[in-house]
Amino acid sequence: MLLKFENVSKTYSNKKVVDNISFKLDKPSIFGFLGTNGAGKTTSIRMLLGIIKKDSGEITLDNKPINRRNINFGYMPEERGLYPKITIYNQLMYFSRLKGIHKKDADKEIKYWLNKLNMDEYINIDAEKLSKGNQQKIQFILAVMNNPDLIVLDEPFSGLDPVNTEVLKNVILDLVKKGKYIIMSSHQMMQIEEFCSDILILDKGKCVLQGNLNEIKNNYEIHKVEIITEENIEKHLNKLKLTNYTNVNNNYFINIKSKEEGMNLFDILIKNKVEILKFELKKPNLHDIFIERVGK
Amino acid sequence: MIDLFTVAKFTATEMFKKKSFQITLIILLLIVIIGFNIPNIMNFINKDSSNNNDNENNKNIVLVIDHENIYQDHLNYLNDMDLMVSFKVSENLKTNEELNELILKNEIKAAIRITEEDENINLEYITESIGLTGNILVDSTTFSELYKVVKLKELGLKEEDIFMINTPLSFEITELTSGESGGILAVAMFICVILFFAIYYCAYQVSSSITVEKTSKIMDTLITSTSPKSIVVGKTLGIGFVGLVEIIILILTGYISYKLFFPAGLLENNINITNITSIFFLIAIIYFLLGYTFYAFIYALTGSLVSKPEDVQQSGGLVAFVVLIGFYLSYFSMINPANSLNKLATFLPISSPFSVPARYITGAISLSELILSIIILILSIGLIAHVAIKIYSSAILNYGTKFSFKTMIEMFKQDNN
Repeated sequence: MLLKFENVSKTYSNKKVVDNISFKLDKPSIFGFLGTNGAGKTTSIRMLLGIIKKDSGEITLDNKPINRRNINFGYMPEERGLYPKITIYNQLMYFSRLKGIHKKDADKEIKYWLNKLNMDEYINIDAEKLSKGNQQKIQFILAVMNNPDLIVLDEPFSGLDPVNTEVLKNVILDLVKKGKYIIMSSHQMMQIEEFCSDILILDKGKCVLQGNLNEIKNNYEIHKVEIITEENIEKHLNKLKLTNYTNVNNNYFINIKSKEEGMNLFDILIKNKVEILKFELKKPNLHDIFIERVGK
Repeated sequence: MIDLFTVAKFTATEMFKKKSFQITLIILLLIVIIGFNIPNIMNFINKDSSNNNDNENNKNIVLVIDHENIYQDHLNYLNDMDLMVSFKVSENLKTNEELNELILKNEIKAAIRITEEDENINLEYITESIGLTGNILVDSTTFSELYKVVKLKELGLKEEDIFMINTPLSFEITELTSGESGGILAVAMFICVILFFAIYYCAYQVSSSITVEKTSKIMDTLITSTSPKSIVVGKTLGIGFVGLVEIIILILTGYISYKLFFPAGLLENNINITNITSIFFLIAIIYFLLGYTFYAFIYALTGSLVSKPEDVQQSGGLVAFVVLIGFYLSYFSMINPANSLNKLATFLPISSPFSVPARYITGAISLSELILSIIILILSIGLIAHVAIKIYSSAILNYGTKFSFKTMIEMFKQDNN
C-alpha cells in the first residue's frame, strides 16, 4: 500500500489553513503528525478521510485518488463523543453496521475489543456513565473494530491514566505488527518519539519539518548537558560563564554551545572532586525541535 | 443505501426506547380514549345531576303574589312554560316577614310580588341572595310575555290567534359555494390542528436528534462512517416511521374507542361524515408524511448549525415561525371556505399539509387541486432536501461559528461530498 499526500492545500474564508503539504506512507508504521492548535492537522486528516474536499493537490492510494470506497480506514477524532444515553454495545453495533460489518461478526468484534481493553463489564452501560478515559477507549474501539488498513488517531492518549496509556500503547504496537498504517497526531512529544518512525510538523498550515525522526535528530548537534550531583555546582558553572541552566535539587540542565564545552565542564567537575551521579551530553529531543520550529 | 436504512433503524429504535416518547404516547392514548368517552361522561354527570335536580326542583319553588289579580288567573300558565322552576301562586297576602321565614326555612326559593302603580306593572323579586353571579330563577321576560297574553285576551283575541302570533319564525341558511359548515367545519379545523402538532412535533425531533449528535461530539466519528446524505435522510426516515406508527396507533385507538364507547349515531346525526372515508385517512397520512418530510429537512438544516444545546430553541425559532404562518394561513382561511386564501393555503408547501386534508373533509377541494398540491409539495421537498444536505455537510463539523444567511449561502456553494 502506498498512501501519498501531494501538494495538498485548503482555504477557508480567504485563509489558507493547509498550505501545500506532502508526505507519504509506504510501509506499516506510525506516522507522527504534529503541530500547534490550529496548525491544520485536523483539516488535513479530514481531507485524507474524505470528510472535506481539498482545494488542490492529490491524495492517492496506490496512485489512485483516495475515497471512502477504496480504503478501509478507522478514525479516532480529537473531538471525543459518544451517544450519551445509548449502551456501549448498541453504539458499537450501530457503527459496525455502518462500516458494513455483518451483525454476527460485529458481535464477535465488539466482545473481542471490549475484552482486550478490559471493558467487558461496561457492555450494557450507557456511555454517559463511563469515565472520560473509558469513553476514550470506546472511541478507540470504534476506530479499529472494522479491521482497517489505515488508522488515524488524533491525540489517542490525552486523558488516559498511566495504566490505560500502557494498555493502549501495546494495542497500537500490535496493530503495526499486524501491518496497519497508523497516522498519529499528538501534543505529547515523548509518545511520538516512542512510537513514530517518521514525522511531519505543521505550523500555520505549512510543513516546517518532516522526515525520519532519527535522521532529523541526528542532524542536530549536542546542545545541552544533564548533570545530577549531590552538591551545588553553580560556582563552577559561573566560572565557565555557563549561565543558561536550570537546577532542581541538584539536577542540572545546562545549555552548551558544543560537545567540547560540555567535556570541559566534565573535566573541571572531576578535578574539583565533585561527586557526579549522572552526566549526559544531550542532543535536542522532539520537544526541543518542535519548540524551535514552531515556538517562535 | 444500506447505511441509510441502518441510520433509520437505529434512530427509530432509540426513539421507541425513549421514556419521553413512551410517556407522551400513553398520555395521547388516554386523551383519545377519554375524548371518545366524553358523551358517556356527560350522560353520567347529567343523570347524576337530574337525580339531584328532582330533589332540587322541589326546592325551586317561586312564590308569586298577585293580590291585585293583575294576571287574571293566568299565572297558572307559568308552570306550563317548562322553566325548570315551580311556581306557586299565593292566595293570601304575605308580608315581607312571612316571605323571609318561608325562604329561610327553604320552603320556597324566591318570591315575586306583582303590583300596579300609575298603570305600570312592578315586579319585585325577593330571594335570600343572588350571590356574585347575580343568579335569579326567573326574569321579567316570562312575566312580560304572559302579561301580553292577558292584554290580548282583554282585546278579544281568541287563544288560537294568540298562539299564532307567538309562533316563532322559521330561519334557514343556504350556501351557494361548496363546503360544509357547522359541525364538519369544526372537525376540519380539529384535523388541521392535529396535523400541525403531529408534523411540528415529529419534524422538531430531527433537529433535536442532530443537535444531540453534534453537541455530544460524535459527528466526526459518524461522518467518517457514512455520508451526510445517509445521516440526514436516514434520520428523517427513522423519525418519520416512529411518527407514522404513533399516528396509526392513535387512529386505531380512536377507531376502537369510537366503536366501543361512542354513542351510536351521535356523530352521524350531528355532522355530515360522508367524507370521513378510508381515502380521507390515506390523504391525511400522505400529507402527514410529506409535511413532516418537508419540515424535517428544514429542521435538519437548522439542527446542523447549532453547536450548543441551549441554541436549539433559537435556531428552531425561525422554522417555528414559518410553521406557524403555514398553520394560521390554513386555519383562518378555512373559517370561510369561499375565501381565495384557501387556494393559496392548498398550494403553498408550508401550509398545504395542514390545509388539504381538512379541506378534503369539507368537500371543498377538487381532485386537480389535490394532485397539483401534492406535486408542488414533493418538488419542494426535493429542493429543500438538496439545500439541507449540502449545508448540513459543511455545517455539521463546525463548532462555535455563528451562522448567518451569508455563511449558509457560502456553505451551500462549497463542494463537499
